[in-house]
Amino acid sequence: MRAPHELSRRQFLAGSTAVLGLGATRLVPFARAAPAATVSVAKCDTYGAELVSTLDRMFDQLGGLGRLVKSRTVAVKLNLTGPPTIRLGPRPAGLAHWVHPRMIGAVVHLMDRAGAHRIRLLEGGYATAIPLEEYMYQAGWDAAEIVGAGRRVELENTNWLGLGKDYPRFDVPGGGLLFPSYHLNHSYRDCDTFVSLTKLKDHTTAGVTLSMKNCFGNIPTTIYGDRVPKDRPDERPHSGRDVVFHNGARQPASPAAPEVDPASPRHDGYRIPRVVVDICAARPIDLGIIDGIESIGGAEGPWGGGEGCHPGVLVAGTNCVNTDAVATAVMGFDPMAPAGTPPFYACDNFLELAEGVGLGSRDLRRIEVAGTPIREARFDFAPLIRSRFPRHIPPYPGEKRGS
Amino acid sequence: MIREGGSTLDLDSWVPLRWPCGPLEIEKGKRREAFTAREAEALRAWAEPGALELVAGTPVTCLVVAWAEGSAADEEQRQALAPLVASARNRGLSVVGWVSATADLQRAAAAAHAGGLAALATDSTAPAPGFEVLRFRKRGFGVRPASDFLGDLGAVWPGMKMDLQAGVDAVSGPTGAPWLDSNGWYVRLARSLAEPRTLWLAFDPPSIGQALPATAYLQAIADTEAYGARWMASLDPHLRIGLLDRRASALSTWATIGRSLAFFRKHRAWTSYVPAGQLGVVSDYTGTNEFLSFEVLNLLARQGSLYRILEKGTALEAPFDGLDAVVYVDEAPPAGDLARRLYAFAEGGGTLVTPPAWEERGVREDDPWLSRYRIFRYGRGRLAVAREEAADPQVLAEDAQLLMSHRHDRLRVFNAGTGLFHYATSGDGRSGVLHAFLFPTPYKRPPMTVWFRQPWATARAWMVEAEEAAPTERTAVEPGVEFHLPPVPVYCALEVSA
Repeated sequence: MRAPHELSRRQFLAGSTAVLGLGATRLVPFARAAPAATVSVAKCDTYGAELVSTLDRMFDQLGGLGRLVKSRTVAVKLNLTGPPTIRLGPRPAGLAHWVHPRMIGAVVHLMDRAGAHRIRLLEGGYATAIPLEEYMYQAGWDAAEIVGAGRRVELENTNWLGLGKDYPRFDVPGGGLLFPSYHLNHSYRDCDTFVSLTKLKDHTTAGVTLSMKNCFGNIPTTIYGDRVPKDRPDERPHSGRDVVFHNGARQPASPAAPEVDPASPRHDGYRIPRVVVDICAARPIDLGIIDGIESIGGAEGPWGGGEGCHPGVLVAGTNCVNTDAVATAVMGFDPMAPAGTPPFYACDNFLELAEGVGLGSRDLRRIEVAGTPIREARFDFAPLIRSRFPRHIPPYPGEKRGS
Repeated sequence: MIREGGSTLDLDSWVPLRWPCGPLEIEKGKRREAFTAREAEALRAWAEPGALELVAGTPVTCLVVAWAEGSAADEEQRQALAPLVASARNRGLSVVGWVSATADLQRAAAAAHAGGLAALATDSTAPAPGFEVLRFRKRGFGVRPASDFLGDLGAVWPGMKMDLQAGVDAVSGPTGAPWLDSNGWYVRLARSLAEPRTLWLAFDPPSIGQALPATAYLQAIADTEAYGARWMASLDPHLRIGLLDRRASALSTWATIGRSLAFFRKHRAWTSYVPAGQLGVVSDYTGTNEFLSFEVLNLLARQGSLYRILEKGTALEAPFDGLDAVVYVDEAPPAGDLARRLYAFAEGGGTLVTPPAWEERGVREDDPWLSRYRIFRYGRGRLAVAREEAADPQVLAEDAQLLMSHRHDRLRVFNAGTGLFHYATSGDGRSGVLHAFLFPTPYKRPPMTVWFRQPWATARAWMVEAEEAAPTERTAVEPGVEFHLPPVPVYCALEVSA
């Protein structure tokens, strides 16, 4: 059986070696060959009865869910960022920075109906090894209800070894922009189809959080955490990923490979977009589903400020770069925007980097949009920057860019 | 006139303040390297009757002064303090003399009687018939206190382990979360096992080279009073000097201390509420079981688990109503009757967590996340038998909570940051209070949300800073109810009613 991501991976492999080590802006010619697939956009006002039928229609527009999940083990990476006891004011996490539980339930239901052999819901619980269902209960969710939305539904906290015996290594085709490979929880290997189920929202460091940035959370902090031992993975997660990824002040624990270029900028606006591209190249996304019904604008979570918003939109696609480019446009931003401009205020444009290494096109002229046109679905996130907490970070891009 | 074991004084209404002054304190101070001339001056000044003006109009009703330590300065101290003691009595204040274990307690008692003191307080175990003695002791319940007063010498300064000067440099615990110190678990244990009428905690402010912030004192008072004990309030030397100099910051801190003490006087009824518990913790809490059982309670409190103390000797008769799980901590198995009751609890629908070698019953159903246990479906409940002896109380506390599952939570608090919580309800179940103790953050506090499984009808948020309770917004959810509170600076009591 051919994995759904095989085609894009082959295309990636075909081009990536040629661009290794080049700056993103020099990759534009290669970008013309980056894949472009249909992206579905739909208005959806609530998490009520209309949700399942809307998603069903969107998946049909992408060629049907069956071709992606039938008789397969499907891993779904959720976006449950930050601790479960943090809310945006009184707003429950599902109405702000977390993908909504009914959205998860609807996707599980449709995948089950489409013949998925097994559905595994994944997330790296913030600084904890507790089972994912316990994490959900702490947020006030009924995990049993989510599991009950389909048959053979499992949950796993992938922020540590979990139920695996080891951490499989995922090589980044072409050698990687920041790291040559990543060691992940077994769940990202032991699946036939990989889905990123995420939120339509801003991101303080990466510009936007969409299907690609969601996969930053695939990375276990037992290896890539702030205070892990040098010579072995930690037994449990204790922290976030600031030191290894955001500021690059240390290398990950063994057996993870050190970064490609230790002399590269330590600015998180340089580093995070590259990790995002690396991880999506190493563990390709077969389907991206973006929950933009209720969300947060201005930040990726309440720790960055932000305010609640109601875009009332869903986006889905089989190519993560295409999907995120369309979603970026739905947010009122230009996916072609250069570093240092909205929404990439303080970072490189990860869509540009991803396109540069051949993961997919961000050029809206090349991407077919099915369903609601972007202009009709558009909800402008730009004004919501007003609620972002100020950060005292050096401007980006700075002098060291591309060094 | 006085008997050991039963006080004739209304100690429960006393609000004590350590009142360091006089030659004995100066002599003690001189043994410290950092002791300054200003400190000595402050100690001399507080021996003057005029210094008592400071406590006028505050809830403080009792001064605790150094009385004897078995040194040559003892007599000088008594003479120097005579005018102060007389003036205090005239103001209606009770004066308690602190006697070190190195002093002759009987001689000190005779002098106290002659000097007009109301009582002595001491960590000495020597007898002192004929005079009221408040006994302080190290922690432990191998020998139960004979008196209805219990003084605790093992208390810690409550709060986040941190460099208070730096403000946010928290020390992490094993979970990566900041390490929180609290005496709440011990107060609950002491009240459960020793049942004293009055429980005082003696602990001094940490030395940070400058005056502690007012919020630190509020934390110290709240962490003690909310659980039903009393702090023998103790001011740091910088604050005492500041008060002497009438510095605005010191006066502001002192006002906060007064407001905090008054707040808990006003809400004394809360101390009669019964702590909500869904995880029973069975131990004899003594001897070789002391460390593990004490730490398990400490860590359960820290992780926000609602626990109920079940002393092994009385657990057979104790009600198990409302418990979702019971963890048996001690190495030695219980007597047959208690073992039968615990198994029956599991069979009836609860979760029983045991050390290794307990009889395994039911149908094996291991949880891959908890490989430290053999888990069995037993009747309508579950039995979890540890594969190895628990060595790490943190792991045992976490495992017990996970085995019970957050699915059954009675309470969830959102946007509290780093905090501790104490939830108790009135005997008739018609009202309750959630004490929320929050710790310093460099960030702006967001509004807090509290979810209760019990659908309380109303909630009022009491804070020390305000005379009136703040209203809350109620949202019915399924199941339960949420109350949305304004940002809480340090401490809040959410009073709920049916």
